Amino acid sequence: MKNREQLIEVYAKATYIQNFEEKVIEFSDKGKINIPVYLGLGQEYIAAAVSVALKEDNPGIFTQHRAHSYYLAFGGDPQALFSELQGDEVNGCAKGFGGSVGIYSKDINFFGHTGLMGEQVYLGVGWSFATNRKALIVLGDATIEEDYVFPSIGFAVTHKLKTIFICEDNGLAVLTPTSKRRSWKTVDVVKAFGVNAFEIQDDPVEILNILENFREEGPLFLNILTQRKNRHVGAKLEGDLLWDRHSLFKDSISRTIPDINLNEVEKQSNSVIESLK
Amino acid sequence: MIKLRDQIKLSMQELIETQDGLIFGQNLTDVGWVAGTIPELPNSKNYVELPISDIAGPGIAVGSAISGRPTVYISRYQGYLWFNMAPFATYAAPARVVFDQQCKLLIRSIADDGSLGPIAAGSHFSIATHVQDLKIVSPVSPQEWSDVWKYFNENSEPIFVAEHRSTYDNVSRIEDLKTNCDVVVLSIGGTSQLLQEISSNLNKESVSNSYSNILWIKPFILTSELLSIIHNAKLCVILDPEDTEFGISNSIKNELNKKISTKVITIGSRVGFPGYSKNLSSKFVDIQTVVDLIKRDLNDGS
Repeated sequence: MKNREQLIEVYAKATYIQNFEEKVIEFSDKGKINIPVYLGLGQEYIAAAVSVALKEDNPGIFTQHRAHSYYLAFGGDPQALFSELQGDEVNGCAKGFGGSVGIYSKDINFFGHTGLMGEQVYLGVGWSFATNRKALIVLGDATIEEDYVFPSIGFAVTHKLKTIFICEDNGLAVLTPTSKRRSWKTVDVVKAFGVNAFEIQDDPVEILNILENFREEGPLFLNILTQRKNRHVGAKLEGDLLWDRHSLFKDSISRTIPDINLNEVEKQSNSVIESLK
Repeated sequence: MIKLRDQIKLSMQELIETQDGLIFGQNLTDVGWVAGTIPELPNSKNYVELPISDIAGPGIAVGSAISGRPTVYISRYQGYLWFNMAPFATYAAPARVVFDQQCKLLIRSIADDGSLGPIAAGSHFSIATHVQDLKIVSPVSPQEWSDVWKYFNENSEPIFVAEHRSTYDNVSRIEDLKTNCDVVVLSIGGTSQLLQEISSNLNKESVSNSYSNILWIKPFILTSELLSIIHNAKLCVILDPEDTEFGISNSIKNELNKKISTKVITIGSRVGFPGYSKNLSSKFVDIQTVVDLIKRDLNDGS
């Protein structure tokens, strides 16, 4: 059982991310955001739980596109990101170069991404080796197929690096299902390298438990089965989800912490988002 | 006098011992210590033996460089660049402009010629010239290497060093400048090894000449003294270690023609697709061919 503060923090961060993404949709619909955006509604509890679990570690953060959630969960300036999405070359977090894909923030050790899928894996591994610090490396179930990803994971194992790999697995490369692309499972291959690897659902409590109790030397790999409400790119919604993680977690936390006022938590996390312009 | 090989080795030693930098590469410590250009320190933790992975390996080195730790990546054969270049082109080179990110990375890419097949033989570094913002140098003497090393130490951006194994025994600048001469011959990379003999043959034919190696390929930089000599000459020749069809020499020619009106010609090497038999080995253009082309051009001009 996680402690009360952690669960509330996860809920607050997840709703904060949801509100941000919904504000992006609103501004896209109004024509104020005109660039390709990679939204992650439905997946926000992964970033929220990971950031709570790693909050004391100050890791280097290496993501790819669809990383608003990690930027926000680890404390990135929301206005700087919102400005970036509006093409603001002065106030944007990546000075207009990054857009939705290549966001970065030196304040939170968040490294930029150019759009080359999987580059964050070799970059994060190299950075962790050179600094002897923990790196958080986020990828997807399509990125794992890139040629250079497995050798990089192998290097992390060989050198017992403090790397946390989070694979957000929605079973799709854009819209092509995994079954059409490959016959092997990610965790099987990663385990064969000697990595501590687990396949789990996007349950934030399980993510917290694994990350906090991991005491082994070397990397950890979590393949997290998840779903996304949004299309691969753009502000449109894709359709119904098989499960509603937000409702599930909200019900769970209401039962676990009956005296919590979730409306107040939501109100606080939304207050920052409401002020974005 | 110190050889180029030993000057490089001294720099690598300085990187390890005084900067705590890292040297990444394949087969660094068990196969000739990169032709004797890195110090024999078998237990050094600053050598990073990479898996035989020609994209992930350079990428891991770029990850090290963006941490601020001085980083060297060594590519044993330039044909590997077709794989190696992705992390350099997509992240290392744009890091400073796009992400305001330091990337203290020195890329040592080593060419060789002979009966080594299509990948290991020949120079291939023109692929790197297509990368925006990537500095490219080709030192062929200890003095030029020292200039490169100084630049690396004073900056926090990637620099690509095109080396050629045939130059490692050189002890002095490959240069002879005369204020007034008919022809100036410029070399790129390994073609520097042809310059002295070309000059000697031209002298025998009573063709006054100067020669020099081009250190700064991108951006293309020549000293004002050398530019002035070319300006006053009748002809400038650029020797390309690759075929002129895809090598860098014609781009340099265009850059040169923006500055001076002297006629410039480029001469490529007989690269093709090298094989392993003697007849199919890669080699630079032969010296007499260069001399004959120069004489013909000068005669046409007169």
